[in-house]
Formats: sequence, C-alpha cells, structure tokens
Amino acid sequence: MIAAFALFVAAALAPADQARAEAIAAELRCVVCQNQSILDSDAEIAAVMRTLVEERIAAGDTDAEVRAYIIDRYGEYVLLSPSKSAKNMMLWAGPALALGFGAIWAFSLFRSSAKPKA
Amino acid sequence: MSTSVFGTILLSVAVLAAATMAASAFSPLNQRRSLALGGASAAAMFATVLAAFFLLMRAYATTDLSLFNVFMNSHELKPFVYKLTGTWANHEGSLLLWLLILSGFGAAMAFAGRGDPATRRLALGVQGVLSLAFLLFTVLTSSPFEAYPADWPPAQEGRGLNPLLQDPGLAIHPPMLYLGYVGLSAVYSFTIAALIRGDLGKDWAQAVRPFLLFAWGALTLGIGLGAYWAYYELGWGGFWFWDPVENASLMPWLAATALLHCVMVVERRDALKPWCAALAILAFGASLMGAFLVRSGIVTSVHAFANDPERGVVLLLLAIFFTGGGLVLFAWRGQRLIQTAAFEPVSREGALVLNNLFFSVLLFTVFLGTFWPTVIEVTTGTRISVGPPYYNVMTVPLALAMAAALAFGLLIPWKRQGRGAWVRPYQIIIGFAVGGALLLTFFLGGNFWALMGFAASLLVLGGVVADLARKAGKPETALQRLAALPQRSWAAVVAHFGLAILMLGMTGATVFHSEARFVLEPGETASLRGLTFEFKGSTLTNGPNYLIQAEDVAVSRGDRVLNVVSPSRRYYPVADKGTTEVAIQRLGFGNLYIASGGGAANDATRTFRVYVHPLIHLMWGGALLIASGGFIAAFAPAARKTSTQAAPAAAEAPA
Repeated sequence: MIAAFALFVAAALAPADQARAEAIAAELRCVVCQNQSILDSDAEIAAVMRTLVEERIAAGDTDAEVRAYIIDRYGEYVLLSPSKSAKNMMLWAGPALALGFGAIWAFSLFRSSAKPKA
Repeated sequence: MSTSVFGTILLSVAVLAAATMAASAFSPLNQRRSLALGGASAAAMFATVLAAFFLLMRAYATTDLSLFNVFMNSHELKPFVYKLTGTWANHEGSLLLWLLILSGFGAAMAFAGRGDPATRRLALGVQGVLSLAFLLFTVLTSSPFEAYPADWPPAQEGRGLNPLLQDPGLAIHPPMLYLGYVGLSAVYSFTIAALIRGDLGKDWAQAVRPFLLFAWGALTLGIGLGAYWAYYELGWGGFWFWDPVENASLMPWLAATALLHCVMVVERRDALKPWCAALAILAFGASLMGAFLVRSGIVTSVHAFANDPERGVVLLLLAIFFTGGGLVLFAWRGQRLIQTAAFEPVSREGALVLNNLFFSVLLFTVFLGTFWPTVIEVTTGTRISVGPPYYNVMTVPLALAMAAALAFGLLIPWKRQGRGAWVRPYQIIIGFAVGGALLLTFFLGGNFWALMGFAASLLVLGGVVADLARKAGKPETALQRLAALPQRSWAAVVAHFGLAILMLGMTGATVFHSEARFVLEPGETASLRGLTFEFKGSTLTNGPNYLIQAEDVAVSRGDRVLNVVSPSRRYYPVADKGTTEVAIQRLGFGNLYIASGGGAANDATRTFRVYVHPLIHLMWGGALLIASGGFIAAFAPAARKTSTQAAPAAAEAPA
C-alpha cells in the first residue's frame, strides 16, 4: 500500500498530462472492485494501475497507446466503454437500429389509420 | 405449537386459498358467486400471509433460534430495528414479503371494484395462479419457517448479518422496490384477463390505472432510495453506477413509464391497444427479472444479496414462464385488439407514441448494455465491461430528444384540435431552453454534457409552465380554472416538474462535480473549490456491534470554520466485515462528501477522497416529486369517459 502510494506520488505530471491521466483512469475498470473505475477506487491494484497510466503518459504515449498497454496486461474487461469492434457492433448500433425500426412502426400507425377516417 | 409448525400451517392455508382463488375464475359458478369466492379467497390468503409475516417478524424480534432462517441471518447483538428489518433482508424472508404484497394486491383487486366484472373475475384468477406459483415455490424450497436441524448441536448465537444491510436505506428500499415490482402483477393479471376475453379498452385502462400508477410511484421511490443508499453507504462518490442490478430495477421502470403514457391513449382514444398489452406483459416480466436476477448469481453486483444460484434460477424460470406465457397469449389473441380510432400524427396521442418509442429504445439500450457482456462471454469467452461511458453516450442524447417530445406533448391537444396553436409557444420553449442552456453552460464553464443536461431540463420546465399557462387561460379567471383542474392533471404537473428538477440536479452533481484525493498527516491541510480541509486526527471508539475508526476533519471556507466532520470506517467483528461511513456536509443545494480511504495501521497518515456535488439535493427532491406525482394520480378519481371532454381547456383557451 505504502509502496503504491510512493509510486503514485513519484510520477508527478504536468497539470495537462495529469488531466489526461485522470480522464483515461476514469474509463478503466478496477479489476477487483464491483463497479468502480481506477480513478475512484481505493484498492491497491487501482493505485498500481493509475501509476501505470501515469508512467506511460510520462513516457510520451498517446491516449490510445496507454489504453492498449493496460489492455495487454489486464484484458479487455478493464474498458468501461467497450471497444467498437465487430463483435460489439450490435451493442453500439442496436439502439440506433431500434430507433429506426420503431420510427417506421410509428409511421405505419399513422398511415394505416389515415384511410378509415375518410 | 412451535413457531416452525405454526408458520408452516399458515402458509399451507394460504396455498389452499390461492388455489381456490385461481379455480374460482374458471369454475362453472355464475359470475356473482365466482367473484364472491375469488374475493373471499383473496382476503383469506392476504390474512394468512400477513399472519405468517408477523410471526416471522416476531421470531426475528426475539431472535428465536428454533427457526433455521433466524439462526442463519440474525444475531442477539444486532440493534432492535435491524432485527425487525432483518425479516426481509434474506432470501426466504424477502420471498415472504413478496407474497405479502402479492396477496395484498390480490385483495385490492377484489375489493377496489375496478374493471367490468367478467374481466375482474378472470384477473383475480390470474393473480391467484401467480400467488399459487410463488407460494408453492416458497413452501417447497425456501420456507422461512424451516426448523433448526434437530441433529445439530443446540444453537448458541445467530450467524449475524451482512453489515451493509444494517442501514436505514437498505431497510426501506427493497420493500419499496417490491411494492413497485409486485404492483405490476395486478396490471399483468388484468391484461391477461383482457387478452383472454379479447377486449382491451377503456374499462381495462381504468381498471389498470390506479395499480399501475401506485406501482410506478413505489418503483420510482425504490430506485431513488437505492441510489441514495449507494451514494452514502458505498462511499464511492456516485449515486448510479449502471450496475446490472440497478439496470434491472430501471428496466421495469422504463417499461412502466411507457405503459402509463400508453394507457392514457387507450383510455381516451381507443388506439394502441396491442402495443399496450405487450408493454404490460413486458413490464411485469422485467419486474420479475429485476427481482430475481439479484439472487440468480448470473450477474455480480453490489446490490446482489442472498445470492443463491440454484433456487434463484428456478425463480428466473418462473419469471420466464409468466412472461413467455403472456407473450404467447398475446401473439395468439393480440390481433383481436383492432385499432378503431383514426390517428392524427400531430396530436397528443402522436406525442405519446413518440414518448413510447423513445422509452422503448432506452429500455432496449439498457437491456443490451446489461446482457451484452454475458452474450460475449458465452460466445467468445472474452470478458468485457459495459460501464458509465457507454450509457452516457447512448442515453443523454435520447433524454434530450425525449424532453423535446415531452414539451411538445404537453402543448398539443388530443385528436385534431391542435389547429397550429401550439407552434408559437413551442418555438418560445425551444428558444428559451436552447438560449438558457447556452447561457448557463457559458457562464458556469460547462461542457457539451452540461449543455444537453440544461437544455433537457429547461425544455421540460418550459413545457410544464406553458401547459399550466394554457390551462389557466385569461388572468382574471386563471385561479378559478387552475383550482378546477382534475387531480390527475396536477399529478402530471408535479411529476413533470420533478423530472425537470431532477435533470437539473443530475447535471449539477455530475458535470459540475469536483473530486480530489488527499494523503494527509494529522495537522496537514488541503483545499478544493475554495474549501479548506484540516486533518485533526483519528479516534477509535466502540459502536453497538462494531468498532469505529473516525478521522476528524475541520472544513473551513476562508477564515470561517464550517464544521468538523468525521468520515469513518466501521468494522463488524461478528461478520468480519467493514463498511465506509462517509461524512456529508450540506452546502446550499449541494453536498461536500468526504470518504476516508484509511491508511496503514502503524502510521497516522490517512487517505481521503473529497467530492463536491452541486445541486444534488435537487436531484433527490426531483425523484420525490416524480414519485408523488404517481401516488397523487393513483388515488385520483377516474376520468370522465367521453373523449370530447378530454381537453376542454385546450379548445377554449387562447394559446
């Protein structure tokens, strides 16, 4: 715990980089917690992961590179916002499709009833 | 007679009563006698389940260890009030509470006299079948009255209770949710009855309305209390985590919200009937899922309690049976509910169709987000998470569209009475909302989320005000006309106003929140948002059945000390578990929220997480108002039947 904090404090970043690190940390899941990001968690592993994020940023990685680095070590499970890959297409496109089909249904409702009123 | 035997007898009598209630509907008796028999057995079932419930509560109050359930879930040393609430804070006891509410609604259906007698007779029968299924499940697999095993060594003390459950929030919020979930059973039963008879119309709408609105109000309150509990008890600085169990309570709420707007259309316009029937079945199905997903072990969650995969899965199967059965009946009989009325797109009913469309898409999104990780894990073996960033992107734009539709719906009258008079006020509302949101966002330094949140809130607020102004008409007669408005109109005003307030509070508490993590030694200070925190030191004290490790923090603004607060951590030796007790200091409509992250034992240094949540009390207040709207409408007198009287104010009032 103390070691983790020492690391955490050691990686002092410029304010803009610190903000980037926090924005990334807010979208990474703490793997031992129920449903917390590593930014919000007090767990040791969250502190370690925050440190990893800060180290990668200090090393000059882009946001995407930092995320890839963390996923390599902890798996896709840590992404609170799932990847927009082919297997998640339904997840991302589903609501828009539902809205489209629903709108067609609603439209048909008005059209079909337009006749009997005459 | 031992408690175990007495309780088992009571539940067995309830099984007989439920069987009679189910049989009465399909018996060759004439209608009057069948209704009388159904009503009498509903009352008998309610009375016996109520007696069984009080018997179990007495056993908990006295820590009667002759009951296995009490032995497993309670303890002498627990505070008295949590002994009582412990009655339903476990699998068996919560099922008994479920049965109590189920039989209570059965009795209410029998004696409230809503709906035409032929439909009510069948509805009572369906409610009887539901009650019978859950009673049998309870008696056969999960009886709270099981005796302490005779061949075990005599019980000395109980096995305690999850300390997270020893909290007022968790004592009230599950019963409130159950009231909502189970209340929808009455809606389900009336819908199945109407489908069997092939007649789902105004009578159905008026029979279902009070139960639906009451259940919806309770569900709203239950979800709000759950969020409030998560806020102060988990110590994570948030109130909603898009956790599977939170979603499972949100889904029936979304379905029920869509349904209650849909019922309005059926009541006034004789349209949308098949859609309404499907929604009613889905709403209760989602309730069953919501209640039993919690214990199935299929999803993990902070709210999951009494995890019991085997029996939980049986409950899930019961849920699937009643939902699936309802949907099969719907597929078979649904086409008989032919739409008779003409449908004008630009009308109140058109706006309500839009409302239902948006609510259904929202429901589908939450459903996808909740179950997609399971789908991916089963098909590819990869574990993924669907967290807040996904839901924010998907739901916030939808919420904005819904707010715009709401304002439109409040302005436009039913049928073809609109005559374009709504256009001008709607333009004003849009202008007011967009302009107001831009100004607020600019001056408060907000981002795009803030803009959308403010706009949604102002759209709804504008809609409510314009609706009231239209109903008030000329200034001379405004008060008279407002006083003469029916109770249900006021209910809608209260609920929609609550929604505007809730969205404003939510925007403040999330977009404009600040958070920081401080590592402090005693005597050190830190600051956030103009507030200074001085860590005074730690104390260790004894609570009734736990140890308290408290950190005293003096909070000041400038030179003025506002308060000394003590975020603390509790340790429960019997359960060997700890909880976080955050310190919350109210600042106007907002909160300062400090959680202690603890520290190393041999070191005085402590970690603190400090949050400022502006306007968060508007959010809680808004949720209360929304729920009140539901309760006000639930007890409102039934509307007059003729649809020509639907919008008298609209027809006369100058826009």
